[in-house]
Amino acid sequence: MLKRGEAETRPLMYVAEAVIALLVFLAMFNYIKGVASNSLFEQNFMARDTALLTDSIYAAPGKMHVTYDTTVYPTTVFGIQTSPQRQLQFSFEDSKVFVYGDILTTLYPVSYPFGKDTHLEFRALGKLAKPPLPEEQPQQENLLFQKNSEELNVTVAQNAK
Amino acid sequence: MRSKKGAVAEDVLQYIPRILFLAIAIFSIVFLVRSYIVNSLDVKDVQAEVFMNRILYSPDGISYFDSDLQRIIPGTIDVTKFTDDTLNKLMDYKDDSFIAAKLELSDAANKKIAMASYNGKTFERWLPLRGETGPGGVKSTIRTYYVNYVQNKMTNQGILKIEMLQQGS
Repeated sequence: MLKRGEAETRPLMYVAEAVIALLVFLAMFNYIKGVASNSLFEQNFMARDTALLTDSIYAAPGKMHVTYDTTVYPTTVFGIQTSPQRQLQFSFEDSKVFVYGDILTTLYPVSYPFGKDTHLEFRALGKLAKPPLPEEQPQQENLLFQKNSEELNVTVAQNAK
Repeated sequence: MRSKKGAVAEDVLQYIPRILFLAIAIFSIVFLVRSYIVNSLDVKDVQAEVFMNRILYSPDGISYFDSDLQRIIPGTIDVTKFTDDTLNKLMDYKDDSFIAAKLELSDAANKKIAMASYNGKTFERWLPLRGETGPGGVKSTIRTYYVNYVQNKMTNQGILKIEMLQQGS
């Protein structure tokens, strides 16, 4: 049987432990949510991916068509959606792929270089003139790479689905 | 018989190991969560593979181009195209400090047939830093291919060695 002093302090200790555990859970959840909702990682990934894709298309002999999905799909933590579906914007300039995530990153987009083949004409999307507002962002767009013996053309294509 | 104060003090003392254990458990969870979150992207190995594939398989690269078939013959090097100019026109990264490479073509007896470099000046500058780790270091990737080479309309067997350097190992 618990003594009087123990009977008063033990429940308090259990509550304190529960509060600490809850605080840790909330802090971790908030941290994961912050990481998941930040588009910087996706921008870094897609800049590298599209630059390497462009290099690979240049390496391929003959004609080639490649469709690249630029959608960042939503993430969930414990079944709770932490970030919405987003669309990243791309531009190709000076042998670099620029990836724009949102208004904050429009001034300083993530970029990664690709090696332009000087024997082929390169035509691609120009640099964005202004930050894309959320309501202006297209619902679903893809990048379409088309290569033949004379040129490599990168355009925006609406997704069929 | 213990007083109320004594009982509380003893209880709090008993909780110290529990709180220490809780702290260890919390730090373990934080460590596990952080270790599963990937923040950095290292594509240097992929970049090296793509670079070498471009040199070997691109129609504008060093491989022999059959004008009748309008295609390259993979694994067959055209010695007349084995030049710095071919490589530098094949890939224009606009940034001389992104990739540098040196190519050596030897015959089957290991006698040098031709040499070419991509961003040759950068390659020479980076050579002393080859293998150094850290942001100032240079990562080296070396590949050796057994190839055929066409020289004076004759096809011979040879060895192609490509060393590629990338900044930041």
